[in-house]
Amino acid sequence: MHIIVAGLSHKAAPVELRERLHFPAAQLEEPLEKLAQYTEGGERVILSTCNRVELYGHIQHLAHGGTRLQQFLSDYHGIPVELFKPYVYIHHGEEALRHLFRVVSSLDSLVVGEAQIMAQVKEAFAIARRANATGSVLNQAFERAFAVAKRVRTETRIGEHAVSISYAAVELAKKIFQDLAAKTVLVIGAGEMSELTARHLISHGVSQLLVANRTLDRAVDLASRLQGQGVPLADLPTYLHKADIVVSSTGAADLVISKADVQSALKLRKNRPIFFIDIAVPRDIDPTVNALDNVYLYDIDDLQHVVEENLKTRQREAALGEAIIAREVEDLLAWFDQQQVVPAVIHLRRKAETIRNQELGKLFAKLGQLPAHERAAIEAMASSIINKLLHAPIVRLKQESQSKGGTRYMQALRDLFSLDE
Amino acid sequence: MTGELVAQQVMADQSGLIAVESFRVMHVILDNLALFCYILSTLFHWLFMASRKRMLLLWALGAACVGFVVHTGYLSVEVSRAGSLFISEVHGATAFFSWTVMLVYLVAEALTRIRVLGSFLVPIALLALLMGLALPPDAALLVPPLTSFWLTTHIVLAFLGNAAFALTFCGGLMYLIQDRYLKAKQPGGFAARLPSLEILDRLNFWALAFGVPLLTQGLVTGAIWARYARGSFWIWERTTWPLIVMWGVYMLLFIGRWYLGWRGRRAAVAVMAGFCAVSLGYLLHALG
Repeated sequence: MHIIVAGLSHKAAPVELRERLHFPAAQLEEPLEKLAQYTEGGERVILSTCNRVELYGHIQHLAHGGTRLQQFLSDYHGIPVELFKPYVYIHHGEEALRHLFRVVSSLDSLVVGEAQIMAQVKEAFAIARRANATGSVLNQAFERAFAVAKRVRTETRIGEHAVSISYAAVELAKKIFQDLAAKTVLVIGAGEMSELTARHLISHGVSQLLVANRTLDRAVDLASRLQGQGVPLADLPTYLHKADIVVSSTGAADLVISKADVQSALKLRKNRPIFFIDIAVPRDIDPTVNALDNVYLYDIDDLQHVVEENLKTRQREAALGEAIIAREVEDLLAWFDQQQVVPAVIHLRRKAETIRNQELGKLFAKLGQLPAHERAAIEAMASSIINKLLHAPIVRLKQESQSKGGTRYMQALRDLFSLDE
Repeated sequence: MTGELVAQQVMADQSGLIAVESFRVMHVILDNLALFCYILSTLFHWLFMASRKRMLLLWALGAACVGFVVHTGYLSVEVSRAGSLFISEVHGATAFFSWTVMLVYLVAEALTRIRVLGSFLVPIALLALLMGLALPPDAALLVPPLTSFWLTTHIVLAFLGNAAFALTFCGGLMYLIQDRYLKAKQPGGFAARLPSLEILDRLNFWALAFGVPLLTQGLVTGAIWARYARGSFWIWERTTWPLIVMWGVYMLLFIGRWYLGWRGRRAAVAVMAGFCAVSLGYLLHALG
């Protein structure tokens, strides 16, 4: 019995191909049903997101396992295998578990540490489980994967620090202001980028919103969508001091906010800090205002730089995640091995018992009627031979199953006694 | 007869000596235990800052609490030994200052939940304790024995006031660090461990708002004591003018904050300078 995974992801496969091989989450039951023929009825899970398509299986015979899973993809989607074969990766056993753990922990994601993948895998697994496509092995593997992902998320900082510009702006705002709820945001320029940043700020509690634009109509339009207030850009000096956070992204060729504007606003604000986010190119806000006390100015390059630094941090944290996963994979493998010991021992005993009964039957038939006590003595001797013969290997197997070499012993036992036949 | 009396006298002296000795041993043990706890707490706080593992914070807080309890016990032993809250030795003064800093720290930590506060304040308490050990143990202060109620009150309030200023010092320091990182466009790294500028600024304000009245009351009770003990509310001399100067410094800071909108970076620098000036003032006042 082997765990296997075959799939393709954003790392190699082009998006056009991933699109064609995609399984819509709403209709996973049907492909799961069909996949059963390719896994000889073994356990299976289909994971399909916009970045990856993966088939997890628990199959009897490893030979051709990967080929069969690829055949399924080809047959189901009507795409020749040759078309996607170069992009496919196939892992089994330990590597398959490691792959699953890495995927769920978001170490294999396009943006390392993104939080969505866990929910996506959970859903894929839940669908497979409901469809009775999973059993004790994949259940255990996936449940463990979720626990590992949670561990990676809490024990490393893989999910911390914004990796998008607008979210980085929100994080910076929170470094300056404790509570965004009581703060006023001024959005200058009714562009897409400023709207996105404003929406992020609103979702983090900002309630007061002013929108300024050269044409008041567009300002009012965006303001009404964001439940703010539209104001004419020409009157900027009259309301600049009200803003704690200023997001600027106009298409203006010249500066929109000068140092003098900011200085007079600061005076009116009694030096309460202002956070300027200048995402316009060319820039809207005089870069020298950053030198003023209690003024913090980040332009698009600064934010980009912050995002890059954050990505680097995530990469470093990912290395810690890999170490956690390596230990967890080992633990799970050991657990699987131990799980196999008990059935193997039972199997062995049952086989010996069957042989004993057969041979005793033959012997008693040959000997004819025997006194009861002689019969009992012969039966006891047969049992005693079995027990003494099997005692040492069973004890040894149980001992070895605690260590890493357990699998070898188990395989040897199964082979030597032909337990799988 | 006389021999008996002498023997009795010797025995009494001996038991007195034993009592003094046991006090001394107890207070050395408690003193060192508190010191040990503060060292542990400082280390755990710094490790927590470096790794941000929650477990370390719990250890740091635990060590700080145990240290504070032991420290309180130590001061109680002192009081029962000397018969008053305070003894006129440098060691006692620094130990008491250290205690007030820990008190202010624990209260501020519980109220604000600024987790990195301990990384700054516990070392200050530790430093004060160590300073007391480094100075000659019998270096007497010009403070007379605290038998007077007014003098005791004066000193307790003034010390609490200064502990509050130690808090503003730490808040100011954290503010400057955070401000510097944000201005340099490097919000990651060390700055990521510090709280937001707004809450640090608020911390500075509230610590100042508590410290100024305490210091004022300390000054007033001191004047009342002076009236009883020395016949006049105020005597201009070497030991009193630093008090007035530092009180003036803090009143100025407070008024600037309250009315003139001094805040942010400049306010942080001002309170830090204020704390240094006041600490110096105390030394001048106490050592004469």
